[in-house]
Amino acid sequence: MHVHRFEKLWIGLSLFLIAAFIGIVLFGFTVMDLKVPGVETGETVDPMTVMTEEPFSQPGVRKVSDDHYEVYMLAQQFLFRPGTGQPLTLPAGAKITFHMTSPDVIHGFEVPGTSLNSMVIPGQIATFATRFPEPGSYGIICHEYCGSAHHNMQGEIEIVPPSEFDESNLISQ
Amino acid sequence: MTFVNHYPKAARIVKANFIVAFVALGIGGFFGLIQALHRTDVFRGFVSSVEYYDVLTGHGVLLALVFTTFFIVGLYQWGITRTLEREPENLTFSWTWFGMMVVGTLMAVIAILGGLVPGSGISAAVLYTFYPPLQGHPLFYIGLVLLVVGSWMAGGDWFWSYRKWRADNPDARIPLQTYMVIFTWLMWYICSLGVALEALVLLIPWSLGIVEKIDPLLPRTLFWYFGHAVVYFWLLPAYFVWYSILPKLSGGRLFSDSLTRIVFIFFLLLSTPIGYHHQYADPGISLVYKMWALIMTLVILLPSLMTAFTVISSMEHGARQRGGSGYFAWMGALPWGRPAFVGCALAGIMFAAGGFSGMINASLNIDMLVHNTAWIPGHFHLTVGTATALTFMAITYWLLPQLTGKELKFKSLALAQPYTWFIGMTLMSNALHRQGLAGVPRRVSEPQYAGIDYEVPFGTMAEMDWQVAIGGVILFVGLILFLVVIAGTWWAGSAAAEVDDHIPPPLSGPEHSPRILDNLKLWIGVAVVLVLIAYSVPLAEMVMDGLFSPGALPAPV
Amino acid sequence: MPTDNPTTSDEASTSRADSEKVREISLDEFEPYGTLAVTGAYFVLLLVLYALLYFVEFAAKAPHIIE
Repeated sequence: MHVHRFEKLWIGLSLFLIAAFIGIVLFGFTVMDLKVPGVETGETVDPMTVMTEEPFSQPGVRKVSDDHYEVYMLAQQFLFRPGTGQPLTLPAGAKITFHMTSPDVIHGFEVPGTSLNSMVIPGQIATFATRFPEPGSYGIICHEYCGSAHHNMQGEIEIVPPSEFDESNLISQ
Repeated sequence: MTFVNHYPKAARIVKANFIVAFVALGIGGFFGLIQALHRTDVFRGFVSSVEYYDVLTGHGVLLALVFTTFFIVGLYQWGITRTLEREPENLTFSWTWFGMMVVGTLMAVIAILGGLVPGSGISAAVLYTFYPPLQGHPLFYIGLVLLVVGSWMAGGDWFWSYRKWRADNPDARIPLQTYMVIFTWLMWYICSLGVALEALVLLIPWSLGIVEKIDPLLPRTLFWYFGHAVVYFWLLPAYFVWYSILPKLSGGRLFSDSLTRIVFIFFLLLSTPIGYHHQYADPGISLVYKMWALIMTLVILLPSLMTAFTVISSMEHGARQRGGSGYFAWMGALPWGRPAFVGCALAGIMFAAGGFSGMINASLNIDMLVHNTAWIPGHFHLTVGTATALTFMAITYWLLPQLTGKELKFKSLALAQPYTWFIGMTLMSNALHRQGLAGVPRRVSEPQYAGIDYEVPFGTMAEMDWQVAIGGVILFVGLILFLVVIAGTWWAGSAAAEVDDHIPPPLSGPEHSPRILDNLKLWIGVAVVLVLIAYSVPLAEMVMDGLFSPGALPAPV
Repeated sequence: MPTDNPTTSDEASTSRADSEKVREISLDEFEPYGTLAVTGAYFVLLLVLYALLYFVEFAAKAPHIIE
């Protein structure tokens, strides 16, 4: 087979490029904690009954510890619960774990200006954690077409300083 | 004397497929114009923001499934016929599969367009990915199955010709164009099996009401088993053109036959097992498979990077034979006044840009920055929307005289067309990429949300919206130019005195290429093993807890 | 013997394209320096853009998914 030496060089460069990309991604994943949703894949749920049983029968924020809160959130046609209507309020700095599911169709969860991004699939629980370093206001957008009012599906996240975070509205475990 | 004189029966089949492709291209392209104006809020007078989703479904299906499949079948019929030097074996069989593809297309299109007709009771605003529990009319799913099965039969037609040719030529190397057709179609059989199963076993019974509930993760996973490889179903025919015809259009010869074969083997092996990279953000797919998809997807960069070298070096050969010199100046010696060359070359340049955004999409965690944002259509309008579509349009300028015996009409329009497309796509795609980085979502009729301000790194949202809108209009103009040239040539073109259909042999031909590359059984075997490794366990898990369970109710759209 | 260039065409029909050809270059004569330059530049561009996008646009921005 006739492979020109320049082509051999190029194949070498290409393999280096591929290895570099793989290395950067794995470095980001392990050392910089840049992860994806569903790392803990767990059990499935029944979309027909998920809203009648704990924990999704009471969507909202629960406290795990001073540094860790959990959000059980429903994405449904065409709102986020919590998040639409009333903003989802959370403290800055603490670890926040989201658990999300849908009782109807596939939705998306996106917070523009961040890389918080997940699919929400009936029957599955999407789990991911993050920290919001600073107080501020963020939007939630459904980025997976979910029906005729898809473009109206949005929510809000309000991040407040920890001292101002009102724990009286939390769902008790 | 050209292709239509030597192979009139095959020429009729090619032309029939091209006609359907170009009609789909025209309608689908018009829908794209509506979308570009609507989502940027430049003009919302065509449709409502709800009907937008019917239009979006039509755009995706007509362009990414109908235009592509029919054009590819026509192109490959031309390639098989001329290199095996055989008319189709049985015309009844050939026209049957064509008819099946057309009937299937009409059914699906009726289902989609029915959504724009008030009171029709038929709709399928499910988008090109048709994820359940969103549910379309059964005609939609049945139509798509007929289109896919018809395409399988088209491949059967070509394998039949190949077997006949092989009986007459037991020791010959597979001709290169036939080789590329065979490997594309082997890959197509493997990957389209997933979507066919999804439709036949799950979606059709469910849309007919035989089963009420459906488990969304399983059909979605089967779709993406198909959905990544389908992009190579679109790309490999563009590579077919760039490898086997573009060198000649550049005034040169293909640098290496063997490297071409190796690239196509890579795509047969790796295209399907990497489908999970479309599900990086999904719950229910374990990290192990996402990691496997990450690594294999970055490895599949290799055949495309190799393609860059072989194709560019073949073009350089042509440029230098035309008198070009220097490290970069040689590019000026290429035939920039020839429409077919220009379209293919500009398509290749855009593919280089699209390849980069694809590398980002493939990279697991950084995909979270761009998943389901406008970056994604920014990416694929460079790849399928230009590398594939513009190559197909450009090569039609070169093929049509061979298929009709007519001289290309309106040559100045034909030359303007690829440059127009390139400018329009540069505007639209760069803006979509930047909007995606700011978090603007895709697949939505109104990406403007009360109380949500997008942070734009540089530029403004208004300027990006205008680039998308103006780029879309320019692309539509480019589309009209193409259709005018084709229609004009077909109906009013004058007989060609001579048709330039000669392709010189490669610089390094099949005589330098190891025979193992032609061992179809070996490569099919490896491809199947890789697919089983990637998909058997996850699909088994999803099926074992109940084929339709955990089940959600249908949501008709 | 079938090949990829079957003799279906009139050789004269290639004369238009051939007339623009200044010289023939054989496999052994051909040194694709131009391709190395173009692909080399692309290689550098890819590395730089990827690193920029990954480390500046993505990794440096919070919040992101940490688990």
